[in-house]
Amino acid sequence: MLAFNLDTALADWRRTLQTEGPLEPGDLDELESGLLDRYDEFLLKGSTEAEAFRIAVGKTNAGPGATSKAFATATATGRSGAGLLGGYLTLAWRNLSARRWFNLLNFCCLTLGIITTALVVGYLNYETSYDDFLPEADNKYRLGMLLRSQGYSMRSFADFNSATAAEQQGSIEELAAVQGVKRAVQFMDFAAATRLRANDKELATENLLQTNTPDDFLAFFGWPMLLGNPAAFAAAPNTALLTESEAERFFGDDWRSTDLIGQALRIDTTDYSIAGVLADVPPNAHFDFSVALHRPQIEYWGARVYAELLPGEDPTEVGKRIDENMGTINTSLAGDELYGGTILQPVQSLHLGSDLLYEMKPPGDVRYLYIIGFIGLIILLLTISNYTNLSVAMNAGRAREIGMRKVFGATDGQIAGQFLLEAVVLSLLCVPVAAGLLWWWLPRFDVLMGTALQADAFSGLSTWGLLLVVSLMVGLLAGAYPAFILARTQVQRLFEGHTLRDAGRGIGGRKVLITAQFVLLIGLCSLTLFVNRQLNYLQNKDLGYVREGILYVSVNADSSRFATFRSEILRLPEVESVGSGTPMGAQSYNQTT
Amino acid sequence: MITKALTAASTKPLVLSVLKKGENYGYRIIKEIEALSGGDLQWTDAMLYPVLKRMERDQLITSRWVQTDRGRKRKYYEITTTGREQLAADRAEWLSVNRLFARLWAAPDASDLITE
Repeated sequence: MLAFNLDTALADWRRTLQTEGPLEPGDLDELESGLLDRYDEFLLKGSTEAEAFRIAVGKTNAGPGATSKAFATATATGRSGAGLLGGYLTLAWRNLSARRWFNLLNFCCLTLGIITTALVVGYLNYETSYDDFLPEADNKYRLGMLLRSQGYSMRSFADFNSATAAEQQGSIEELAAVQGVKRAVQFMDFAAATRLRANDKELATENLLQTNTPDDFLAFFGWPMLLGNPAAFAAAPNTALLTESEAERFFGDDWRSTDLIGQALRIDTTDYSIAGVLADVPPNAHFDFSVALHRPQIEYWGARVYAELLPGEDPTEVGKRIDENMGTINTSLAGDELYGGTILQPVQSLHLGSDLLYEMKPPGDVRYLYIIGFIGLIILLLTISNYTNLSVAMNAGRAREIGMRKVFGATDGQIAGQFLLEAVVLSLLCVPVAAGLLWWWLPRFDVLMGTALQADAFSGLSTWGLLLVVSLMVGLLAGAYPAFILARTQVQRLFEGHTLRDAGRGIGGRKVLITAQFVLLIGLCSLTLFVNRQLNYLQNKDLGYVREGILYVSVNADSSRFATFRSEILRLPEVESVGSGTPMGAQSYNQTT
Repeated sequence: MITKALTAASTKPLVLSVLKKGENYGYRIIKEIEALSGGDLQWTDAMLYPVLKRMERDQLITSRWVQTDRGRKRKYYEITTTGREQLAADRAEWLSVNRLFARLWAAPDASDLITE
């Protein structure tokens, strides 16, 4: 039997206590001091050295793990909450500064990912928000017509261009009298530029609108009136409403203080009295106008017709009733064997759900939204997996740091929380840079995609909120995997340098992640290359004629004026020849039966 | 045997009371309390030392390491001014509760009488 050795016994006792749980060196020394006092006590009482030591240990220790737990509990409060958070933030900043190039790479990838995600979300939100400004939109419909097996987004007058003011007015009144219809509106928009004269200025203005249902036009769409009186616009014909932008163009930035109500607006040979100023048409409206004119007769073969139904009415039934009453609404259509009926379309579905003839703005396509959303999701996944892989590799060298923290009592949750916080801090640091880059890129994006995202992108909290939410989400998702991988690694493996648990062993989470990342990347690059080649083909294909050196001029004139125009142009030495034809880009119509 | 709850509640004022008499160390505090309580209170080192650590963090006591003549290290504790104020407050509370119990338990009532 081995002789009892106090130093050996003490060393064994210290080692045992340490394996049961973390203890600070000072606490262990104090326990040892008490243990030795008890050992002396039992030696004096007559116990053997081994026996005295055994009893002393029994009276000193609280039980396996309980001693370290008691010390941890005694000192646990006061370093939670704000105290720990401050420490984590300091640690996070220190680690971000230590590995500059790695973190810069991560930062750039995160910023690009956040910008792309924000753009995709903004674009999808914009495209799906068309006409959401319309009050009581559930009951509002556009009336088109099926004619010659083709859908028209507008309706013709009974005598087309020859329809009198009374005939046009009578037609819309008959429509409004159909059971279930609360209100009917008709107007026509003219995209081509026309010269307007007001306030001693003559300016070309596009998107003039003519209506002979002025009060219903204002009530249906709910256009906010900034100056003037809706009743004045409706009371008498030959009155005009300017939009805010047009008011600024003709009367300057201080148009509000200018007495423009009642001033004359001349178009060609007709004078209109300015009755008020409307707010600019929202960019996400399915049509646009700059000046609204109240005229008794719309100068066109047809008009845009809209109807507000009474609450609870079935639009299909109302459509049938309109067709049953076509004899009084439009005798020409009623007698046309090629007329296929009225098309009732909810106004809010027009942008993404309608592609009829003569749409006022190019319609959207919901399939493109799905594609863009899917691509945005892929880029988001690439951003997250890229950060995850870089982070796991980067933090492999912090094994001892994590091990020491675990020895001193840090829980798995605290370790994971620190790494999550570092990921979120890096992600949030991207927000101001992403905002700056978005501010630069949005106008170019609007030109590319035909949107108006920049209009109010940074005026409200929505964009900032979106950037913060996307950044937080990317930071949490990207930081979750490395945080929990590193937190769950055992202390011993950490000190041996093993932080990548599944390295070289079978199929693990990281291998799946890297493989998925490269599959997505290769797929996305291939698609981009394919689309780019298609675009190049579209833009550069030889169409069989020379496109350079041709000037296209839209001449809205009869043939006699064209002859004069042609002869004058031919006098220019630079002009070789002059030809004429139908307007470019016109949609085919009256071609199908 | 004193309950855990009562032991826990009384530990701090008992330690402060012992230290008020003079500087002391963990093992001797345990033995003094054991002797004064007639064996009713038997603290373990693992119970007392964390309490001493917390009291030191709360600035009720201070500590210093002393090298004994046998070459061992021993941690001595001393009460602070804050500790004395806390002890005075604890003493007032305990005496108040003690007076209440004394009044309640002084006169025997009918339920204490054994009837045959």
